[in-house]
Amino acid sequence: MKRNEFLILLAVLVILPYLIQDPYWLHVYIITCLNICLAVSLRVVWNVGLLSCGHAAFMGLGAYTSSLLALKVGISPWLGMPLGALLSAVVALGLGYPALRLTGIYFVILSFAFNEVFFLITTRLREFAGGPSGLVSIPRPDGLPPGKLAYAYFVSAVFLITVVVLLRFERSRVGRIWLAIRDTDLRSRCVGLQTTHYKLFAFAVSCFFAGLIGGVYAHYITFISPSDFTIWQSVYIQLYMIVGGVGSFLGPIVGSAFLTVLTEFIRAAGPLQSVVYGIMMAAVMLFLPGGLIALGGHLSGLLKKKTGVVKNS
Amino acid sequence: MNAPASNPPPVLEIQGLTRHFGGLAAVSDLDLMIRPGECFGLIGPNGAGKTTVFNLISGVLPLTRGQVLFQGENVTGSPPYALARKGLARTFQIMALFQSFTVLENVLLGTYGIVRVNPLAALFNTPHSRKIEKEQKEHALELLRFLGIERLRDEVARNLPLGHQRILEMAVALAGSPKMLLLDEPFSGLSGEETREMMGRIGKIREGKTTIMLVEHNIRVVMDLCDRIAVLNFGRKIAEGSFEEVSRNPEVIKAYLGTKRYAA
Amino acid sequence: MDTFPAMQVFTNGVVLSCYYILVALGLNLIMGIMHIVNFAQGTVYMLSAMALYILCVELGIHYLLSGAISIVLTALLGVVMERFLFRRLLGQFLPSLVMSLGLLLAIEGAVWLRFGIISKAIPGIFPGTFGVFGASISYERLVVIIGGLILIGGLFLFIRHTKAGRAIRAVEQDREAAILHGIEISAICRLVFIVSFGLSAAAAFLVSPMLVIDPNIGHIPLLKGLVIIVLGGMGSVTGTLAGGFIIGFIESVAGSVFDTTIASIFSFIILMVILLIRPSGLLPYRM
Repeated sequence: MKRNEFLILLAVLVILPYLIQDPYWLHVYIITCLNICLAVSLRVVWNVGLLSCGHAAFMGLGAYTSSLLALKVGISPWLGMPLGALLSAVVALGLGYPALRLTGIYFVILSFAFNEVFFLITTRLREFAGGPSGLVSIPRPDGLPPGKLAYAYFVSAVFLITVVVLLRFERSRVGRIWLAIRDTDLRSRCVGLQTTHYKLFAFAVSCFFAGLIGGVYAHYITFISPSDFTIWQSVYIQLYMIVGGVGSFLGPIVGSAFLTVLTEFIRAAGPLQSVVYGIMMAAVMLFLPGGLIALGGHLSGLLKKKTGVVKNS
Repeated sequence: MNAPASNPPPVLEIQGLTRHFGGLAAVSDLDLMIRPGECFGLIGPNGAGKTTVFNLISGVLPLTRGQVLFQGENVTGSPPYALARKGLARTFQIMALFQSFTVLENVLLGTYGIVRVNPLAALFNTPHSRKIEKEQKEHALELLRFLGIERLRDEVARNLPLGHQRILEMAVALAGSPKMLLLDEPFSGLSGEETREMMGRIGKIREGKTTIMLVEHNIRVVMDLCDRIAVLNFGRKIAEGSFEEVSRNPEVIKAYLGTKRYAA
Repeated sequence: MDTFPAMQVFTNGVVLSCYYILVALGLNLIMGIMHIVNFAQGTVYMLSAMALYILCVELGIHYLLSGAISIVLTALLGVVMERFLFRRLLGQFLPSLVMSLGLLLAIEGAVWLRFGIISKAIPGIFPGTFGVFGASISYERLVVIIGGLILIGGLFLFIRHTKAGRAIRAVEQDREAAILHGIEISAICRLVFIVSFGLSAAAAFLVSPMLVIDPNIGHIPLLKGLVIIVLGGMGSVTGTLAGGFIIGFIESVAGSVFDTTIASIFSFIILMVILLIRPSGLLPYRM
């Protein structure tokens, strides 16, 4: 079962960039892949029953780490990106430890505050990290052929790794324990599970991938600044995660792809984008918790009733 | 009744258990000693503090004063997961099942905390972790058969009717093969037929030498199942002994005055 | 700078504290009965300030009357939001949070659309300053201090000594017991939202002449509010007061010695430390 899915995914990731060719749409493809990875990694924490409001800050941590290592110390991005991811995971553990022993609200507040502080600190560090204007001329990973197509394939590879690893986690014993903890933390503890440890682990995994994506993003776009990783970016990542439907692994993938493309069209409208997305976020929670995927289910159900056609499920 | 030459040590011993909350004493100075293999009942009018006692013993609520000894070991203040691993399991009156999971998965989850697998090993699906998974699944099915609910194995927990949920509650608690089981009102809301079936199940569990402590409102059940009983009122123990002894105690009668269910 | 302007710092501290506390109390009340963070709380404050701007500057209504109208409108908004949004997701932790974040995004975007990002200002109605201990304090600030303390004191008395206040505390502590005692939960929720939103609107009324008005002004009171309620202990009004004054004064001091950014970082470090060593907050017992 998993093998077929993997082959299909691999095929898509290999063929799609080649088919696209146009630089602008390759850019969209790259950003889509990155957004999907962010949304899917955020969902790891959602599955343990928590909401992280600081995911963008962990992305920023990875981005800044990898960029600074390359710019100041001359470390290759191939090493810098995993290091950035690792640092994000470590910071996640340090941050999570005080908060995850307690109820979920504390974690939400702490992640929110952390994101803000990350923004403040990066804005402040002028000589070291470029301050409000950020870092420029971030080097491309050495040895990678020039041009968007090559980077698109690189991002495809990262995407594949992310999806495979996170899907594996979700379907494993650990993933089931995470969901159990979300169902009832109390009972999980009473059957012998150290739920704090599992939550910490989920948070670290989630932030590892956020940091990794941050690094990949930085070396692609070659300039980053504090305003790329604000609380509002975190909220957007949450939006990407829930619009498709949080109930399945596929949901954030569908949602992110849909929204990334949509953003390309409504970006020019400025704050109207905020209004539309904000309403979407609230509306999904209020009226369609299963997200777009559930909408698809409703529609096909409706279709079955209206036409009497039996669709294969 | 057997009177062994040397008294075996109690499975659970509570000394001076006290819990203050706000200005109130939810539980005051409770002393109990549960012997191995027995079924011990804890009864009392509503609000007497019975579930609080369970919450204190199982580490869910912090206690203000007192000691808890499990199998001779001082476990006062231990977190719930540690107690579960030592062999103390409990059910919940307001049920705490893993709602998104099937019956079989619920029982499996009950084993995951006791027989543990390294997360990375689970991730890579090592042969060792697969073996443990297989063993645990068989153990879970075995337990479902023992309790007579094997046919429900693929039902999702949140869809189960009350009677089956209560059985599943017990199954999850039993999954880790505990030495002692705390049952919190397992008969609440059950029909007459279901009650009789549940009593049969508890009887079977007792045959496996599992010690049981039972909080219950249904006096008839307590009368039939329990070897000894303690009565709580306003967080204090007001009587202890066999059902006959306890039911003659004037203070107990006063506490239950007006309750129709009390009929000796 | 010759002398350390202690009086100035002290006054700033009180002003900041009052401002933060009023919004934090709103957050705290909602958190107490619904067990969620209302991320839109700061946005409500901002809306109220915007309403003040429209009424006072665009429509020319006297500031005091504008304030009254704005507070009433904001309280009404609370009723509407509780009834049609928050009540629907009662008991659902994650969806409620996400929904309030969505509200934040949507409302700020809408305000941005209507007013643009350029900051506006409301002229103060108490011009002039007076001298105290060598520092000059504006009457504006005095109004904030007096008004703020009156409101905070009023809320404290309300929660502690009125029937409604006690009902709110009862629901916070044990919802089921409260229902058994005949307390109508929906009425309490409505009341809490009215009070909570009203306090934020009052904060806007007091503070707006001193600060700029733009779509983003809700962010700071929200963040500071979160730190304060963790510091003071969730569900504890006294704790929010204590936490609010502590944060207000620390920020005032740090702000004058360093700058506001460092002050914010200080607040965050305090938050982390509290979570590590005393998560229940400074005053763990309820109210």
